[in-house]
Amino acid sequence: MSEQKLRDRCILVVEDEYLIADDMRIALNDAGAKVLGPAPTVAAAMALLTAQPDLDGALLDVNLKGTMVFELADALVARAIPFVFATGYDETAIPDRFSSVPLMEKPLKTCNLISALGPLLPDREVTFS
Amino acid sequence: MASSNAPAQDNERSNLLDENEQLRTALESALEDNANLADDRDRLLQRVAVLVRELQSAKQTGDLIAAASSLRERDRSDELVRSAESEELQVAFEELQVLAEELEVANTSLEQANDELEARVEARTSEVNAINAALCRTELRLKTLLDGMPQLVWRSRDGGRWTWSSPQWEAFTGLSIDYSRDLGWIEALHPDDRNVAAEAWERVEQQGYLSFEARIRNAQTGKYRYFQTRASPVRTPEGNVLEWLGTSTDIDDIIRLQEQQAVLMDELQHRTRNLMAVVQAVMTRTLRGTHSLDDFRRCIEARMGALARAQGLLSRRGVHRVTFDALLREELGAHLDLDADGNATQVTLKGPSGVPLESSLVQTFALAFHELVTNAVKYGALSSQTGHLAVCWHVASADQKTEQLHVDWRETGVVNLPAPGDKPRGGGYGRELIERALPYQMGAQTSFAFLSDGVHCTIKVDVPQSGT
Repeated sequence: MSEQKLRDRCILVVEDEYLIADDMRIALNDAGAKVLGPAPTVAAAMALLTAQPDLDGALLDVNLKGTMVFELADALVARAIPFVFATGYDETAIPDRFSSVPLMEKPLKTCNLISALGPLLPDREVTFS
Repeated sequence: MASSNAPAQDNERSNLLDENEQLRTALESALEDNANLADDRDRLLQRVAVLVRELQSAKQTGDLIAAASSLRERDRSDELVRSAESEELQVAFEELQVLAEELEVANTSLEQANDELEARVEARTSEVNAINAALCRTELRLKTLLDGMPQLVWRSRDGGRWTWSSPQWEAFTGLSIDYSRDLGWIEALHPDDRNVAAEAWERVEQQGYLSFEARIRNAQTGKYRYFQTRASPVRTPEGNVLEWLGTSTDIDDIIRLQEQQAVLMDELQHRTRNLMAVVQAVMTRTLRGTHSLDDFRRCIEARMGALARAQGLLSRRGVHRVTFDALLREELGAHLDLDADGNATQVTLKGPSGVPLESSLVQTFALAFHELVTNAVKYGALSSQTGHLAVCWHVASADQKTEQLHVDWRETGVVNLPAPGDKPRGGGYGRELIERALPYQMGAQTSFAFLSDGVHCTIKVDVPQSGT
C-alpha cells in the first residue's frame, strides 16, 4: 500500500554523502517516486525547494558537513510538506519542535523508508478523466 | 583529600588538648601542695626565730646570772636560789635543743618535699613543652597543607557566614579575607549561580554537609570557572556545630572534558552510522554491477579494503589532514609493488607531497582511485607490458581565497580499448564516482574520457586553507 502511495510522488532528498544520497535515490526510484535532488547542502536544497512548486515529501539528513538541516525543515513545515529525518545521531540532537517528525536511523532500510514516508503523504485527489 | 584526613587530624589535636588539660590540672594541684608545704616551712621558721630569740635572751640572762653568781660565790645564802635558776635554765636549754632537732627534721623533710616537687614540676614542664611542640608541628602541617593545596579553603558560621578565607581564595577571586567575611564571598559567584549556593546552605541542616557546584570569577582573567564547593561541620562533643570548614575545587577542566567527550561520542556515532550507510550503498551498487556471488565477493572485498584504508588514513594519530599523495600511494600500493619513492615500473607519479584534502572527501577519493587503479590493472595501462600510467598533480590558485588541487591521470599504450558505446567493463563505478560523486560532494570539476590509447581523467578540487 505504502509503496503505491509513493508512485509518481516528488520527493526531495537531502544528503551530503554522494554514495548514501545515490542509494536513497535508487530506493525511492524503485518505489516509483520521482526524486528531487539529491542536494548536498541546505543552500542547494533551498534552491530546489523554491524552484519546485509541486513537492510531496522530503527525506533529510540531519548533519550536512557540519550544518544542521533544521532551517530547511522549518521551510518545509511552513509549506506543509511532510518529511522524515535520516540521521546517525539519536533523537536528542533534534529540536523539540520536530518531535512529531519520524526519525530514521542510518543505515536506512529501504522498506522502512517507504513505510515511514508513505503514510505522511496526503491522499491523492481522485480525478475522473 | 581534606574530607578523609581532617577527622584524623582533629582527633590527634583533641587528644593532645585533653592530655594538656590533665597535665595542667596535675600541675596546679602540685603547685598547691608546694604552697602548703611552704606555708608549714614558714611557720616552723617563724617558730625557730622566736625560740632563737628566747634562747639569746636566756643566754644573756644566763651570763648575767653567771656574773652575779661569781660575785656572790661565797654568798652561801644565795646558793639555793642560784641552783634553782640554773636548773630552770637547764630545762629551757634542753627544751630548745629538742625544738632545734624537731626543726632540723622538719626542715630536712621540707627540703626533700621541695626537691621532689621541683623534679615533678620539671618533668611536667618538659612534658607540656613536648606536647606544645607536637601541637606546633601539627599546626604547621595543617597550615602548610592549607597554604599549599590548590583548593580554595574557608571557614564559616552557620548560614554561610564566612569567618576566614585562605590566601588561595584571595589570589583567585581578588576578594580579601575582610571583604569575603560574612556574605561578602557571594560576590565572586556567577550571578546565575548565587541561588544555587544559597539553596545549598539551606539544605545543610537536614543533609549534614554542604555541597554545590557554581562558577567563580577569576580576578585575573575576568572569566568564570566551575568549582565544586563542599564543607563539613566541626562539632563539639555534644554535637553542636562550632563552625564549617569548606573547600572549593576547580572542576572546570573536568566539565569541559566531559562536554568534549559528549560531543565526540555524538560525532563518533554520526560517523559510524554514516560509514555503515556508505557500506550499505556500496554493497547495493556492487550487487547490481556483478554477475555472480563469487564476482560480488571479490569486488566487495576490494572496495571494503579501499574504505578501510581511507579510514586508516583518517584516524592516523597526530595527522590533522590526509594528504593527496599519501592517499594515492596507499591506493596504488594496495595493487602494485612500489619502490621507496612510491614509483613502480610502469607508473610515474609527479607532484608535491603534503597537499591536504578535506576530510569529508577522503572516503570518496579513496573509492574513486581504487576503481581507477583496479580498472588500470584489469583492463588498462597496467594490464599489459606496453602500457604506462602517469599521475601528475599540482596546486593552483582558483581565486584570491581558494586553492585547488589539479590532478591529471593519464594512461597510455593501452591496446584493446572498448569501442565507443560499449558497456563499461568495470561496471562504470569509478567513472561515476569521478564524474558525479566528487562534484556532488565537493564541487569538484572533473573529466573522464577514453582517448585512443587509454583513459584520461582530470580532477580540480578545492583544498582546505592551511590552519583549518
